[in-house]
Amino acid sequence: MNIKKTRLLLIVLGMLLIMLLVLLIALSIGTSNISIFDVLNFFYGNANDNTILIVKYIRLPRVITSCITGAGLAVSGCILQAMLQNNLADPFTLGISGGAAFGATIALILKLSTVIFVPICSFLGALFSAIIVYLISFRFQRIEFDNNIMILSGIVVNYVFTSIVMLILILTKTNNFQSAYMWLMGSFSIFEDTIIYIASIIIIVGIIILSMSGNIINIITLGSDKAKTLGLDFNKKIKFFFIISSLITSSTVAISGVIGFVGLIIPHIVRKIISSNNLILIPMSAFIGSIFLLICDSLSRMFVVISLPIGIITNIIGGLFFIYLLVEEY
Amino acid sequence: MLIQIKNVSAGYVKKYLVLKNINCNIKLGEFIGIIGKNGVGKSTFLKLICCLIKPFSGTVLFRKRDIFTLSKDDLSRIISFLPQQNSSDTFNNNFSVLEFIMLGRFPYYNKKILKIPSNIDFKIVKKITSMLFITDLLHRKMNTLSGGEKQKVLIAQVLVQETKVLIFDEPTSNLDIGNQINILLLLKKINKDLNKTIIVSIHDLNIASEFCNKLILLNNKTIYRYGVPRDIINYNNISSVFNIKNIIIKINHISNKPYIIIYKHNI
Repeated sequence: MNIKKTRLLLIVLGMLLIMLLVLLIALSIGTSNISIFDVLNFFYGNANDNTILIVKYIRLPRVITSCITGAGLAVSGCILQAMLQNNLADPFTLGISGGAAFGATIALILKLSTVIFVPICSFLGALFSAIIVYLISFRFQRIEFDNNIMILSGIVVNYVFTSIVMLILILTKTNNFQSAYMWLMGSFSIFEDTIIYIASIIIIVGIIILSMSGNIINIITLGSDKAKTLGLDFNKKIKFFFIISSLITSSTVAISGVIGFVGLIIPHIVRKIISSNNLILIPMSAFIGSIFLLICDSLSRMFVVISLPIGIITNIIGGLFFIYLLVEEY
Repeated sequence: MLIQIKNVSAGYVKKYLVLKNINCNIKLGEFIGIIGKNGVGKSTFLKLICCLIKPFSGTVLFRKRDIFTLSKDDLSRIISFLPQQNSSDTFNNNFSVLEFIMLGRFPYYNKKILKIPSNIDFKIVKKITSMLFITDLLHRKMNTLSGGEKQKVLIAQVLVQETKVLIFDEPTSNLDIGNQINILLLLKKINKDLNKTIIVSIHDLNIASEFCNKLILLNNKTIYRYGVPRDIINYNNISSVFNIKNIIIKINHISNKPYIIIYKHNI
């Protein structure tokens, strides 16, 4: 399979169509009965008030959030696995979840508005932890970029932040924490349109940049020595991709909390089924990640009256599917 | 003179030098083998020429220009490198061989926006793979290759970079004797037919002696001996550098190169 421009374009367009179809179906799923034709009518502008209310204000933001989050996490996971040369890397390996929890807790302690400030503070917290990891692995580095130092610093930073959050939890006895924790487990229930827009823009721009750097990431997976002799400015690129993937992950945290597993499993699934070539892997991960999260979110809305944290469903479905892939040899 | 190494001291930490005051000249079209004990600095020597480590003192010149003044682009078209261990396989095992070899053309499509290879790149990959007789592998997946096939694919990846100097760090380790010889025959053919300068580090002294025009014997952080195999592979050098007594050096009358026989005392 040689990747040519037209072929790549066709694949991307095809996946975009499939994703839109799933998105339409996802919009028609939920407790109140709205068929897919009602959804189509809504987009043509002739639906009844009830449909408009539910689709536009309840389902659409949620569906778009899960779509964007899935894509962002999958791509971020892809890039981190390649960069760190580690199968277990995921978007939260570099301490971002701990930082986000810290930010959210601060917001709750200061009794700031949950809808606006929890996402913003967790975004800032996530970025803060990413900056610490960045400084540890690049500033205080001996000679060369070392992926193991980066992984370790990510894990340590995560532990420190999680412990600080625990400490705050014990010291202050506020009852807001239940909601904070539900949210950090991953949920699509906090919505503020502007935040979703901003986060979506960051994520989409990030995904486009990364998709266009597929071949650079391929070279990075060959290892630093080989990459350097192929004329790649290795350290500069690693820094660049680190910043982009941190921004993407932090943005997904801001709109939907910490959703584990998507970023770990989707790149592996795509690598196994389709190709290791990042030129295809990254855009495909984006689409498959978003479709996967759309399906999981739809399921969570289909079966239960009270919506479950999405993390639970992604773990069960993704985990089972991945076990199947591991067991089935080919 | 293609490459000149002048008074170079290098290493990874300043306190501990791996190479000390190295001087050597390499001519165009030579096939040079680097031999020496484990940890004596064979890889460091190769990385020095590839510009992967900066010497603490001294200079490395390519055609009388300091290689550290060359841009990354220029350098990637002059010297190509095959590192010793290859990066984690999970990240490239679902590559097709064609895609994987194509990564070696990166310096030539690096400047494009989408960084996608052109038809010229495909032509060159076809040319090189037919030269190495691995055209039938092109559409296989990387994870289906045997060790020997994989090594040939890695060599093809280096060759498509079309550089004057090719550097291989232990290209034959982990291969059976048949594959070792095949790989070196291949390198020899590249060296002769395409007039490439080849520098390899190698553990098997007999193979090094048989295939290389010149050998560099490293010992004690410096170049202990540098010359044609006949001058390097002798009892004094080998027994003192490798610290062994029970060897005999003979001359192979077909190729006129020395070779080593090991024997065990019968007690």
